[in-house]
Amino acid sequence: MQTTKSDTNKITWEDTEVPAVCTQCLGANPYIRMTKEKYGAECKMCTRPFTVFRWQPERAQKGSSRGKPLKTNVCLTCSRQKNCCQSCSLDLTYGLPLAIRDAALKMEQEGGGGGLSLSSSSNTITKQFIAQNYEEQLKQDQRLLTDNSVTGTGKAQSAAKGLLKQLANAMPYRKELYEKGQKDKRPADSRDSKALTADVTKIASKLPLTGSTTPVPKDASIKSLFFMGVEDDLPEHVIRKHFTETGGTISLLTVVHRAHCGYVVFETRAAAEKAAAAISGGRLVLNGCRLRVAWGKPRNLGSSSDEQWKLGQMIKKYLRSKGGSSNKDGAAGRDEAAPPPPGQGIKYQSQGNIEL
Amino acid sequence: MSEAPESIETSPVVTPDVAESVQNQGVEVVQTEAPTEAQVVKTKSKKKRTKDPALYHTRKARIQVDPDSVNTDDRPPQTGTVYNIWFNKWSGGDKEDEKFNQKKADGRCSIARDSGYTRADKVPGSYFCLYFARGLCTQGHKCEFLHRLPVLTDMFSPTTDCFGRDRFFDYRDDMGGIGSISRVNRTLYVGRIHVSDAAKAGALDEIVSRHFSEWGDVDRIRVLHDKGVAFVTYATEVNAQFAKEAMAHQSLDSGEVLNVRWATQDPDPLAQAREQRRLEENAAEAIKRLLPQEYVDELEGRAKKSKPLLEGYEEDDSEKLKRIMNNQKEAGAEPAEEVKQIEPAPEPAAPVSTDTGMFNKSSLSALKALKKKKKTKAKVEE
Repeated sequence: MQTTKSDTNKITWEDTEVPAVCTQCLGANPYIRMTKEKYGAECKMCTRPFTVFRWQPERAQKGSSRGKPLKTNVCLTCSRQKNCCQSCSLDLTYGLPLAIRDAALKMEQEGGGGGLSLSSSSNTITKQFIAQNYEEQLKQDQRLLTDNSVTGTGKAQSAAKGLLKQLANAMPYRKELYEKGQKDKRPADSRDSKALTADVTKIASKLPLTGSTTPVPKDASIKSLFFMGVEDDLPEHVIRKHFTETGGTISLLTVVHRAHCGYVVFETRAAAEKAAAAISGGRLVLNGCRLRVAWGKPRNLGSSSDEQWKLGQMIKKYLRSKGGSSNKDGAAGRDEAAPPPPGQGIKYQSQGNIEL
Repeated sequence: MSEAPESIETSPVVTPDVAESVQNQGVEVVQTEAPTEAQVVKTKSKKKRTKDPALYHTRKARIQVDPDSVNTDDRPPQTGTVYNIWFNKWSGGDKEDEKFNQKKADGRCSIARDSGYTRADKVPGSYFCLYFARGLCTQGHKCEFLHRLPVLTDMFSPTTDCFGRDRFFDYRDDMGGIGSISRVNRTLYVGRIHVSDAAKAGALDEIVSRHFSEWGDVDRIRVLHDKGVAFVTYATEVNAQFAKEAMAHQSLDSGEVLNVRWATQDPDPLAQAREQRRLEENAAEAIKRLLPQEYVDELEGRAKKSKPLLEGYEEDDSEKLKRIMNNQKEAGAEPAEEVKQIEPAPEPAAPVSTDTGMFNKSSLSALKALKKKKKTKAKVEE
């Protein structure tokens, strides 16, 4: 194989004796048999050939679906760069998925590539170039294998130093800031003018906006509840869980986040009545999101994006006029939280171009 | 994992050879409508098959397709003039447009009817059965893969999907296939939905919701009515993987053949911010788990504040962490490996008052609950 090394691009092909694999993948047994295959596959991240190791993990039982032998999937360079296991791609230090680790440590762009990252490039040559650059950088540090602190492990540790501070300082009011930023942005949306043309008064007139849960309708065929004030980040399954617990089996649940409303149809009338009885005064708080619930048959909630958006705006406006303040329960709680320390602007990527 | 009762006599409907060839080769199979008496595995207890999927572990997995009806001939029907033995495909002849000649799937999984325990339930970390998801498994309770719906606790290595197939770093150009390691994608693109007149009147949301909520907790569904396209976001990625296989080439109410793919990143900045926030919340949760419980409790105000060493001296967060870790060491409780590595704790530049919630909603609500309790206690005492 030495002949292939005469090619400049092949000089950096990996040839190693030891894989970087987490203990979870290796298993409890300290004696393990591995097969080694030089240039056995292309790295899943940088597409360069690398040395593939295969072994049978201890947990695999004969005949089970986990009997598949494990193998290394990414090259040593990529695993060093991301500080992840070559086999399972979990972080070597904390055992977390990389996306979560990166969100926590803010080390997305670290290591090599001159600002480029492997995940953002789709070109094979670019990927190889980035990986080669990173490898070169490691060599220049001259501490590639002797000193652990240069590799990702060291980086992860140093990044962990600011970790708690960042989380503690930013968590409680982050959402508020984000919402403030969005409010400023929204009116400039080009969609507004278009949405204004959509006529939703007909749709809205059929919705039980002013209704409530208290007078149970005489029409026994009504087995459904209408709810509005659904915030963008309230997942459907939370609503489903609530109504299943308080009422009974749900035959249908539709939530249109864009229109900030939805309805739930129960299998029996009794279940619907039970669920309605559990809601006092037509008000319901789920995940800090204040909903208003009323009896009502399933209706059309807008059949185009514009209609739904317009309907959503209408409902929001209505709720605001009725509830006095905005319909965010969580906001009240967040106001009580500590204000941001002055001059301690930690900028989250999620905040985009919002000024702190 | 599951307490699968052993040794119940079974009607030997599955000959191992046939079954294996089915699992390995992926031949086309024909689903029989309503299996006959002989095919339904007789369970010892004569209870009716419960419809509640949550009780899957109390019953055997159903054989979805009669193994005898499976066509073991793996030669594909002749669609060209030359047979390419390397790719097992016909080539030459008139090329048909594959996009508009999609065949409807042969089977469809029904969680309420089909799920049950299999041999895989005894092996922790087993994968899900791909044939089960497609409604085509001939093995029933003898299957080596799971026959149930994925739940939150089903975690797989990022390099494989829930069916044990290796994932790739990038998506395919058409966003089909197994998916990618590079991004956590919980959203499916569903195309070619037939938009009927009834659907135009607003029933489409309902139809999509009904069909897709069978495969797990749905976060949100967005239907583009005029295009016949929907985006379905599940609570977990595993559910999305399962739903993708289960709904591929299926039809909703009007006999169409769906085109189910992975969704590309949502260009809406609102949605991107929401996704990022979710990721960060997960990260905070993960870090909380890595830190000693006592420390987290104190930060969030759940536990009583420990006495300061000196009167009037406010303890630093990092000092607190060190002290708690030392306490634990003295107590003999070996802190986890991960915790040791975080030990160089931060030096918060700004003093953070420890009696306000620090992390997120959950901690705030915990705090509120505590306050309420105190109030009620005080009232009772009065």
